[in-house]
Amino acid sequence: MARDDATNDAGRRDGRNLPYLLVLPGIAFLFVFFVVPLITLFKISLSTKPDRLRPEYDFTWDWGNFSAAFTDFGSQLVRAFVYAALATVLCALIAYPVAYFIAFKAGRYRNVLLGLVMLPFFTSFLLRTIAWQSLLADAGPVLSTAKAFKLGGLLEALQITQNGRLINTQLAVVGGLTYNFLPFMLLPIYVSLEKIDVRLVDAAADLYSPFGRTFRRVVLPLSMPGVFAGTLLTFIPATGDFINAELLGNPISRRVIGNAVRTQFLNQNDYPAAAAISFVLMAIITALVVVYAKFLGTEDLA
Amino acid sequence: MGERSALDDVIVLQGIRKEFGSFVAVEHADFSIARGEFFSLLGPSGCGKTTLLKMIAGFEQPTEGQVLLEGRDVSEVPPHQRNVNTVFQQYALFPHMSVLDNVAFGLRAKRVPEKEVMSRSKDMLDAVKLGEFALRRPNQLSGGQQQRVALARALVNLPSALLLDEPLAALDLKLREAMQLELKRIQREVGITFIFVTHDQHEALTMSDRIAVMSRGRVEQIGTPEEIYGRPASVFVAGFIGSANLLPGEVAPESLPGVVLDAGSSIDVPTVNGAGVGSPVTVMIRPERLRAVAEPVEGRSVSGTVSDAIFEGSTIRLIVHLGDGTELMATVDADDDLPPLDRGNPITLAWADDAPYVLQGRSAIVGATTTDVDEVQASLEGKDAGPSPAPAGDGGPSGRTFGRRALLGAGGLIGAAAVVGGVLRITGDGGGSGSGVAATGAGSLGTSTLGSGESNLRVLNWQAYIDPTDGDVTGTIDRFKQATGIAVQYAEDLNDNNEFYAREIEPYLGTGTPTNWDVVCPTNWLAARMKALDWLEPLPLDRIPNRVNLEPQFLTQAWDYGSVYHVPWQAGITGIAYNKALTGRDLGSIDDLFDPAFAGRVSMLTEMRDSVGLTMLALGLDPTVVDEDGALAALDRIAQANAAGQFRAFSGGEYLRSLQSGDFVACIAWSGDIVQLQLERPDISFVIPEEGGMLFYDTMVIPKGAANGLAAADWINFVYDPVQAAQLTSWVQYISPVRGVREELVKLGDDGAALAENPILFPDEETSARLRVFAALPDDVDARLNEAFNGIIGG
Repeated sequence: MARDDATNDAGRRDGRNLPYLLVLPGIAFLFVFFVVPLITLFKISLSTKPDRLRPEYDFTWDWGNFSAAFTDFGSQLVRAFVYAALATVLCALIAYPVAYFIAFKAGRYRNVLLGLVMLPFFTSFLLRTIAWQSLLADAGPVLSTAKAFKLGGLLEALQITQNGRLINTQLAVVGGLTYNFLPFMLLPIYVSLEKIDVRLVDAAADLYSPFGRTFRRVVLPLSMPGVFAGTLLTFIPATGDFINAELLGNPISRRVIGNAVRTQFLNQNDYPAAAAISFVLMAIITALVVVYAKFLGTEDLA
Repeated sequence: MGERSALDDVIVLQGIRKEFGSFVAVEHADFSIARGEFFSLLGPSGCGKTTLLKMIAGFEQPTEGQVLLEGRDVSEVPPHQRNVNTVFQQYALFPHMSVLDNVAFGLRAKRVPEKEVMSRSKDMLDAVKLGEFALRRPNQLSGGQQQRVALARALVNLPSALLLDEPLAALDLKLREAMQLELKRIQREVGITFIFVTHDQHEALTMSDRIAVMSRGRVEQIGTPEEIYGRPASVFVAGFIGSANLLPGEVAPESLPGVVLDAGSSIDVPTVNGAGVGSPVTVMIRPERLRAVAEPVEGRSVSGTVSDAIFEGSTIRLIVHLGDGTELMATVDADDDLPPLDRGNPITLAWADDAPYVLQGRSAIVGATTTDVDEVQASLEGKDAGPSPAPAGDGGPSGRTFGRRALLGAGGLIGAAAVVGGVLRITGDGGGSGSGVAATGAGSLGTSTLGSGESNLRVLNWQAYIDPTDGDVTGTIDRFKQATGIAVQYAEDLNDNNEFYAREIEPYLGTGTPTNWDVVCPTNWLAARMKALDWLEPLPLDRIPNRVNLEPQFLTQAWDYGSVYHVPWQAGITGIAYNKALTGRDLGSIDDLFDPAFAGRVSMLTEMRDSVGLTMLALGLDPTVVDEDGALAALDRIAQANAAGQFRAFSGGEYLRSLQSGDFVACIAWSGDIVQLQLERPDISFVIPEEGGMLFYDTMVIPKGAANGLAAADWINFVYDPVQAAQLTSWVQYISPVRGVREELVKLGDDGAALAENPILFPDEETSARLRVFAALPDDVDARLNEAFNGIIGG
């Protein structure tokens, strides 16, 4: 009997350990490809590079790189966050109604519409951004159409164009970010909307709520996890993006933190400075996400 | 119940018909529901009962007819303006709200004062015995508790009628039976009309004051449970409500009411319900009205054999086989004095006078009905197929052929691509003929007597900088392969000198590791840096006899005097391109780029040596010597102009597109790009400014420790053959460093001959004299200037 119990125990223990064993490869992967590089990067950020052209670093606890990240690149940081925040808000405002329509109104065309939303994103991110260069050019189709309808003055008054131009403005950069990250906002919102039992909407209507109240009290709160996920998926990468700033922007908009990191890494060959800026960026984003998560309290909505 | 006054009717349905497309879901619905009544809509799935309920709730509009609620036509009134509430199937509780907030939802929507909302909601929760769960979330409650929340949420609003859509279907049997009693109790207490949709006849019989039995969109019968059970209006109702034995036949001709069964025998019936003699009817006898007897009774019994006897506690269910094959079911008291019930034993079943009930029409079902509604339900409810995943797609066609012309149209596309870090890694000759990694490589290496290691010659060059194989025209890579048998792995993602250094050179040679390449093509200043770091192999000149064709001016470059470590690949001029239609005049000076008349409409390049070099020339400074102060003065000039909004952008290779579109009226440009562009846009001009232009050249060098150094030498030798070089030039359209190319171009005729006459490809001596090569900067100076330049252009 005792022996039987022992074998049973062992068997049970094996079963209990299985989930941990299964997660091991993932942990090993993250350790090798995330933790180790992160530590290396952190070490480099505290190092000096005596010879710019040789990959040798003196680890000196040089926090100067971090203070320089703020003093030399403060405006780039602020600008990147402002662009990303504007783009994220625009993405949410555009994506939500579209996702809502697809989830609740599209019926059997749902998959077709989702496919259409995704279709442009099967081509390269870059190609699409470059396409906007042509579309938004001074003599491009967008502005010439606007002019044909005599909307030039209106666009200027709304500050959509500046000196009659759409491209090479800061707004174009925000627009490019919005466009490029739209699916990252749309899909999570769609998924959370799609999960909502339509009977809840019926139930709200049945309980004397017109559409507006139903939306505010039922649909919106239930879709907030999607909005939360979409916001993170949009805001975080948009903060580090420099392609839109470079291809659609002007000499001012080029000054974003992503470009600074790239230049320090690849052009100036100043790895310590680049690493320090990256860490500062990471720290700020983490702090923002924590605050944001606190405010939204997603665990309530799960 | 027939004598109710119209005032007592809470809901009146008048001639309701509902179509979905060509499908008629409900028709001829014409009945009233009284105040305080517990009214059930009963029928199998798809009979229209839920559609009818939705029309009362307002979620569907009738195609024809009216719904009157408290005497008012509400057919077109939306749900939130109807004073009815629904308990949904699976409850549809708001998962993100507490139980209390769920219950308060309707009252708040009606803007009842919050104090009253709270007290009424709490009272209602107490009434359904859930007071202590007020602050929980619905998912923390059991199914039965959720059910009661749903009920409370609806009832708290004191609706004219409460609509319940299969509310008990999700509960297990025991809980369902308890809830049936509970529902009935609550309904009695609040006195509100309940309209209860169910497919479970037992449920309907237990709870209802009246039942409407529906089938295929029609109401078959409305009546009390007793009426419906005892005196069904149709064969369907008889079969659907409870179990029945159905015996089809015809009304007998005798004066005594009787029916001749199709099976042959005839039985007595209390009444034929007005059916004429000879008309088809069905006799229904409920199983509990049958009992086992010893002797047959004329007209009131049948005989057969026991097929099955199922013990059910107080009763026994008997399945009896008649002689003609009909199966009857009898529910008999277990206490009765029964004959032996072994299978196959003979048995006689008899009934009382009033047991048979005659229905109009001949039933299709003969014998016992087994109404297993759940089974019917399951078979009818085709579950919606879930959304299939969106079609997967890949990132578009790979290995797509781009001609240089097409590339210039897309201008700088690939340049930017490499910025993202190899989003588009174009390997091979771009001609699609597959010289990228040639399968024939390994076997043919013997000819080049290489040391070891890599089987292919690995070349890293700039984008669109070599002629591809295109139709009949064989590209340089393939011609090389044919001539030497050496396969080439040709990559085009060298895209920015600094980036190339940071990615492909420093991490390798900085740690004493060979790079991944045998030939790389950095611009001259970077090649100079690599030589200074001792990271280049000297060229095996004895293997490169064609080096005699090198234009002499390249032999005397200070950083590699005698051209021992490098030979140029192609050279070009950095000058000014402009669109005369937009500038309104010809440009001839670098100062024109700083002309305030063009503010915000010109651009400079992100390549420091081009922008700074030209600006130094404009300031009368000499960029060919190391002059840090001079370069800083040029940077200052650029910074000032930029601050004043002179430049629309600082751009890399993508400047071409903006120049084409007219967004730039003028810009710093590379000669080869413009020569190509002029084929389609002759209105775009290129000028070598009067102050001078910058000459740049990209080199071919062999990085230290390259495995295939000798094959690299063969490659260099091959492209320095003027015949080969002319082919290259005719496509690339930069300045060839190979002597004799001009003559070979003339031999090619047509386009080639035209190129031979192009002053940008073959500048005359006077022009050549104005060209300057940027000085080879010491590292520290390069670092400082680079930083200052990046500080201006951003990043």
